[in-house]
Amino acid sequence: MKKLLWPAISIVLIGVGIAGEVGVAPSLSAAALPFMILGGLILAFIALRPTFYRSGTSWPQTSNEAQPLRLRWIDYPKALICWLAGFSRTYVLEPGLYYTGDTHRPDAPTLVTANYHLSVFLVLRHLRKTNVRLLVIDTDGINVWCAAGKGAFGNRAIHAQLERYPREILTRTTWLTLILPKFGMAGVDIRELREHKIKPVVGPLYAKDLAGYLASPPYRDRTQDVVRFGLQMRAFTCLPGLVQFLGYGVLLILVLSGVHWLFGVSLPLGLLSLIAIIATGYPILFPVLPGVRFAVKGLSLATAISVLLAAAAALAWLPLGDAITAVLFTFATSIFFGLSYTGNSAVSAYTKVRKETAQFLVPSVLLYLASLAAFAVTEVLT
Amino acid sequence: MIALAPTACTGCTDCVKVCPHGVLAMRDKKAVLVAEDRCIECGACQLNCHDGAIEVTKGTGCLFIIIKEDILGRKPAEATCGCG
Repeated sequence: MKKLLWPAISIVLIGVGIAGEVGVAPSLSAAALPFMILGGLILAFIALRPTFYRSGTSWPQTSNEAQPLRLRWIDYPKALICWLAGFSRTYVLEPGLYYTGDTHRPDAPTLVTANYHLSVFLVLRHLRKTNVRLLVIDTDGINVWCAAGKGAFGNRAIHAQLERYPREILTRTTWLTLILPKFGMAGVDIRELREHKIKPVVGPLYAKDLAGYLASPPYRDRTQDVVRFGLQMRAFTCLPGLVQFLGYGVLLILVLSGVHWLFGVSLPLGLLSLIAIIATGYPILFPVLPGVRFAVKGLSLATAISVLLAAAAALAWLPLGDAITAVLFTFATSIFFGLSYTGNSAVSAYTKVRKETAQFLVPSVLLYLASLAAFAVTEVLT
Repeated sequence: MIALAPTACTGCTDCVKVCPHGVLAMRDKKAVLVAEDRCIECGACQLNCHDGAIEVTKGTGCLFIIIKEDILGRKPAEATCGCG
């Protein structure tokens, strides 16, 4: 009954809205649209409710049989939200053994993946017409790459799921072949798996290569697969970065709105445009930006944008004070974006990023403070 | 940083199979470093080298993890790295 409360409320709201709109209840006509919108929003929230997953959650593990799995329409908006939310743990899947197609076949190839919604979604989307089994392991809702780096995608999690199922469900032969994502190998000890009569196969790096790989058994290790940080992959990281940094920008504007309301200072909304240019330009131009280190590439981008800002100031399109504020803010943001992009890429090494952080994080913060000071001085003088 | 001790290598090829950046290759039945600059220190090769021939300064090359763990000294739960 409790589960039906909110859907019932939303349906009543939508019904009342429709009644007001079509003239059945004329007294409600003015409120018809807000009623329908509110009802629709409640329904959307029920359907797409994030899990707000926390580490250490215990799954009920109700079944020791493989479960069917197929993409539903609701998985598409969920995948979109996962992506826009910066690959955060918005939606997770219960760990276990799943199969695609109509029936469970123990001889179907078995792929291992994380219980992060977007990981499972991408695998299924590329294997629509293929009968496979998915061993979804408990990585606390984190994607394969990040979970492997922290040890959550690894032998322990694989064994924990395999132990739930009778051997005859897992395989009809002595050995169980598991196709592992190459991105997850930082957490998987393949020799230890062999000791448990598991034949680990290092599969493709990217989900889009899975269909071709599975089409030609026997399955061999994809030794030749290497990370390609090309335009497509960088574009994939572009929108989440933009959303993340525009979020920071909107927070800043909200804080300044308070100051604006108290003291009447102007609102620097143009900073949002600068953030958007940096967050879009950096990933797209990444390979051609001068510099090897991420922060240096940020400096290069900031220099190019600052030249344009200086030209705008010289042509009197932009007041000098605003131009100085914008240049300082551009350098601060571009360096910080470069540093933060280390986490979005699969080409950053720990010791190098650590060194970069030590060298560039404090200057970035100081540049933010300088831009704030320049903004305050400009406001006082004008 | 990655370091390889060729004398300890028994030529099992596991390190070459698991490296996502093609840092290692087999030469004369021994693993060798062929693209050290491409190493991202994920530690896959070290984990899968049971001969102790590979040593890696393993870590996560991500600003937010470095701020959380190295600067603020927080030790997050094993799996929690702050992202999805």
